[in-house]
Amino acid sequence: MYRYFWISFIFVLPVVSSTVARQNIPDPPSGTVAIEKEKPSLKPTAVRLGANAFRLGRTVFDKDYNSWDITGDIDFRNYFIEVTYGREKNTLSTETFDYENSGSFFRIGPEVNFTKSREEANAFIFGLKYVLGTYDEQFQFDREDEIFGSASFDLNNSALKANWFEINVGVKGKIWQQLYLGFYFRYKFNNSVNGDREFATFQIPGFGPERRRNIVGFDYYVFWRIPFKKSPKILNKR
Amino acid sequence: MSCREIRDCQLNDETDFFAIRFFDRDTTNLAQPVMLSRVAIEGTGLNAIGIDTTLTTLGLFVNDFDTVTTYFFESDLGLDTLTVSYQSEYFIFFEDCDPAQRFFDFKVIKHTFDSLIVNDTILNRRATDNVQIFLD
Repeated sequence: MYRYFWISFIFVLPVVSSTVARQNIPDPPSGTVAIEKEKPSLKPTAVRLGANAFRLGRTVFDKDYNSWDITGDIDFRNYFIEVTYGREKNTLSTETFDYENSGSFFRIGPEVNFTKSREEANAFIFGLKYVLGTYDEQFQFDREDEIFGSASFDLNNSALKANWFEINVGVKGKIWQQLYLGFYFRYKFNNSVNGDREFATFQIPGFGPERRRNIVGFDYYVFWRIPFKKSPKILNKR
Repeated sequence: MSCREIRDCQLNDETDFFAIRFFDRDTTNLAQPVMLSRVAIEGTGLNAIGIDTTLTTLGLFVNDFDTVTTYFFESDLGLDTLTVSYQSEYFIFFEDCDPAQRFFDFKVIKHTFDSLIVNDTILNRRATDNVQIFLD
């Protein structure tokens, strides 16, 4: 029931935010330059594609970690729809066990942009996301018991499915031409895992430790924006 | 990246043993001391307690590699048996800890005592007694 509430909330958010975002655009002063007046419209003006530099950077420096994700957003006046697809693999070898997981995740949800910078397309966003993931895990270890003997274990969890919700706060700022940098703080909560398991999940790719009911993540992106049309044309000049 | 948490293996309160407490059947709220000459775990040949021990509470290890364990109790009252079943799941508590195991769905499937109840179906440090045995 709680899960359905959040799903409903995520998809109702754009309707509410569009009402809040409406504003009057004053007429340009009669004089030197007049620019074609844009009517407030829900028509998208661009897509912005990004790669997660934080995951790529950690992949380079952490031999036990391999991950990437790509993201894209499309604007509808003052709000975006963001979609992310990513993959993650973790390996962990200790003196007493070996563990490995690998999987993918797909994130979707709306974002509200609180800045007025439509020309520069900068954004300070608040978003709600729903994330679906699928992953495999392996867990190998030896067990010795003084009373009952010893045994070796090679346990596998295959094709598990996970889902969770996120509250996102982030910034996307123009650096040069269509190049943008941005970061997200993602509060992840209400995770759920489905599927037959031979052992308890340790880490959910894209989420983190399964035992944590909520967790805060950080992502850093490099974006390239692709406008759908050229700049507004100048009507007259003195 | 995520927030750090306290990583102490001692925080894992799962156990691989269960607790038995003996009670007088007539006054069920009072624990009753019992003298046991031997408590054996089937298949191991081991005695779980010292010879001729008087006690009210007893902790018994379950077989980690099986889902059923049987125990034999020798006392002045005679020989009693207790067979318990359970489910278990391996897990990693923290990266620095040994593989851990949690036990749940704990049941008594066979016994020869006068009367008993299962008071807690999960094995962990918070359980004061999993099985309460009532003696005449």
